[in-house]
Amino acid sequence: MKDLAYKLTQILFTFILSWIFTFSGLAQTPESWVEKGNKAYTKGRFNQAVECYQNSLKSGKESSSLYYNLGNAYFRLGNISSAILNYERAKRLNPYNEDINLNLEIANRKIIDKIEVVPQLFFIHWWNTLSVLLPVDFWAVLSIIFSLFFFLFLFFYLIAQGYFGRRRAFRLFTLSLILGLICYHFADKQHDRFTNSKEAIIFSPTVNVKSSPDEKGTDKFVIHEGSKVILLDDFNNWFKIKIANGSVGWVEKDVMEII
Amino acid sequence: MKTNIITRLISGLLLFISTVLYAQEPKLTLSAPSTVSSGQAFQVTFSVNAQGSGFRGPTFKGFDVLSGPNQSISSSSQISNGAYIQSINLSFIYYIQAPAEGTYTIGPASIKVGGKVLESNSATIKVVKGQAPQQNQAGRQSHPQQQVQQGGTLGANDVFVKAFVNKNNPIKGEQVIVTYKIYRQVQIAQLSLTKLPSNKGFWAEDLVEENKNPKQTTEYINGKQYAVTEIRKVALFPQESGKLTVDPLELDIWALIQAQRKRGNSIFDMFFDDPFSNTTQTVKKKLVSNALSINVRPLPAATQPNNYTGAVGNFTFRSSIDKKDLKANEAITFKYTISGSGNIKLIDKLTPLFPPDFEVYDPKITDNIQHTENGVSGTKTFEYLVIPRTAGIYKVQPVSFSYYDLGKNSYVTLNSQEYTINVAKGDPNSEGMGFSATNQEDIKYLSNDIEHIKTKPFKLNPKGSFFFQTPLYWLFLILPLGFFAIAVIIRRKNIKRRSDLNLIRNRKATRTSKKKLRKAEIFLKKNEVSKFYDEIAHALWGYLSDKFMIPLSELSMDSVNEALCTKNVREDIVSDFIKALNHCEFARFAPGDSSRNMHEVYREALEIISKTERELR
Repeated sequence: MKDLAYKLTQILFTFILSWIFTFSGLAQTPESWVEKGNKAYTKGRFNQAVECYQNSLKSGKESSSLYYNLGNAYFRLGNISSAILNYERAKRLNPYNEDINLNLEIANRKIIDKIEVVPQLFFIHWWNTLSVLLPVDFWAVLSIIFSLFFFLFLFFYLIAQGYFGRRRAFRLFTLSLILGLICYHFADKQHDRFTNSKEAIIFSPTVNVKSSPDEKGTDKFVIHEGSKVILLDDFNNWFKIKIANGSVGWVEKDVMEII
Repeated sequence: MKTNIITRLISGLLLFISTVLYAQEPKLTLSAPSTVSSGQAFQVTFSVNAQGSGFRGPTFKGFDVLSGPNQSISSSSQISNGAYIQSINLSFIYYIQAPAEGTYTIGPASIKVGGKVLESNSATIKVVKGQAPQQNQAGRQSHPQQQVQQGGTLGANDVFVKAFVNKNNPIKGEQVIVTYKIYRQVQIAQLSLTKLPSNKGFWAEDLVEENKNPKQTTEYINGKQYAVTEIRKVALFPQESGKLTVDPLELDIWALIQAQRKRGNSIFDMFFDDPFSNTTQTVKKKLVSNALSINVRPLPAATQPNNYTGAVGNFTFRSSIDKKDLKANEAITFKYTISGSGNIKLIDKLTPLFPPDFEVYDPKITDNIQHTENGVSGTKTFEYLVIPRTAGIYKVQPVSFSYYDLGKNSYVTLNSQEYTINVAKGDPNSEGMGFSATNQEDIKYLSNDIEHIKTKPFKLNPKGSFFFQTPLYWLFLILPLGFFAIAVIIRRKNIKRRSDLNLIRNRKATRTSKKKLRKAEIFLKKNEVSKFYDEIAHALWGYLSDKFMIPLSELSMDSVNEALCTKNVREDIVSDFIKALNHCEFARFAPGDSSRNMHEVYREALEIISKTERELR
């Protein structure tokens, strides 16, 4: 009897404790960190704002707005590289937000390097623009819808009586197949940018870009903090990078932060 | 005639002299003794007979400058013959001393008089081996003849220099007053500062530079009486936080001490030293003050206002404006004055925000700073000349000035007044850009700032969680294929079943029709005309429907014709069948000679069905 009472108290105690912990945990949700960060930012305490947003990110959750706010806080602190990094992350999640693009542009005007962008062929540009028009999962769902249409029209094609009915069904299932493949391609293209990012922001004040992945390699050109680079290849502790004007070279991995 | 000439000559001469008096050429002259003895202090004077400014002293190579330049000015004016003559004598006096013998040249000095730079002559001075250095300073001439014995005894405690600081733990930017005092038990003939502290990490302001009447007090240390004189007072403003050191001050003094008798060192001699005898001697001694260590606290960073530029002290802030109503293209002056005590000299800018249509010139900054015993105070005035270029009513935002208040130990932000400026349309012919309706301006972007953060609550999604390429995604992608396959299979089965059904109907077609004909035979016998014809029609139509798989609804004379033709039924049989159908339908809806017709129709139907049956086999 006494034993049972003891056990019951123990269980009750553990229950209460866990309950308290859950509640204190609730008080520090990523959302509450964001709110705290916003308050600190509005009051001009940007250091504190950065800390709060970072804490929110530590939860493993993200949002383009959160990256955008963090970028703003860094911008106010004068840390342009970090600001650009976070604006780029925000932009990847939400490519057509005016605020994000404007702030990224302003931040990019503050960096040292002014790299002339090689213009893309117009159809490649359109293609890329189209591919980021919708988020990954939108394209994924569309590809499923088109797959559904494809099989539906294929079936119609098979059962259709008469020449005209068959011809219409044929056209529709071919169109669905093509659109479905395009959607899949766009989803895959964007998905790749998230899971296997090929872009980075330079964080070291000055970086000598070498002609080979070797410290003794010849210096090809110099880039400065805040510049965006595209990663082409990696070898040991080196990345082969390409900058917006098309120049290519090798830099050490620790001078940059992958977007 | 002759006297006339003479008087003329004289008057001419007089005239000449008077013009000379008027146009007295300003001249800078150097006067110095041509021969001095080493160690002797002597006077070098540069004098100019006009009001001048920007005196630049010569380099005294080979000499030690004991003091100077000491400026003195004397002016006299007189009115003679109705002419006002003023003569000014400005002189700069140096007391210098040659430590070693030889021949030295004192280079020329220069001064600006009326925009012209005058240069003095230079002098060559021969320094011969020293006798007693002559005491030239006024008031110290009580001992005309002095014996000199270099290296005479002067105890370490007889004379020393100490540095004092009024605050050991100031905040960054707060003024700290350092006082150097000389303690002495002997008389000092003269002193010269040889090394001024560099005061690294501080901004220094000399207080009471021309210390004409030094403060003199008496203090007792270890039972000994010392005469204490303040020799230097400096206000220091720490420019960085942390531990800062004030370097020691170095100076040379010439002390007057009682010369020791050459006769012996007997202790009794001390008693017989007559202080009133003339046996004093001058002894030179180098004194070094103590170094000071000052621990500077940093300014609190957390509460620091955005516009804070480093002012520390106690200030007031005023603003004024010379007019409020004006026409476009007219100038207006904004005056902002900061006054108080503290590091006022270091306040270098205000950031007033004028409307963008105002043309703003660089401010005129005037300082009026007093150095007193208690530190540095004064006023600083920023005058902004502003020209509004277009008409309108403008608001000039208040300018804020922040400083760290030492009394309150916190930052204080003072705001000036807000001004409303009423600018009327300017004169269209006035210079500059006149107002005209055709003059369009681009929108002025005042700043290129980032957009504000997103303050509305937003949804946070788990990082890198995509539906794409998950097993569920693949499943959904493949699912339509499954549906497709199922649909195809169902359709196949359906087709097969239907064809089976048709086969059965085909087989049963003759039997069904015969059954119906038998039924018709019964109605014939009973003479039930309408029922008989119905049954015959059913039998014929039903036979066709079952045999040729034509739905009953689609049956017509044409479709029957077509169906039979496609099945390669002979033409006469087809026409017979259609004839039979026609007869039946005709008899059905137009009853006439019923009994004979009924028999005929019955026979015809029976015949055509068996005929077709035979044909299809």
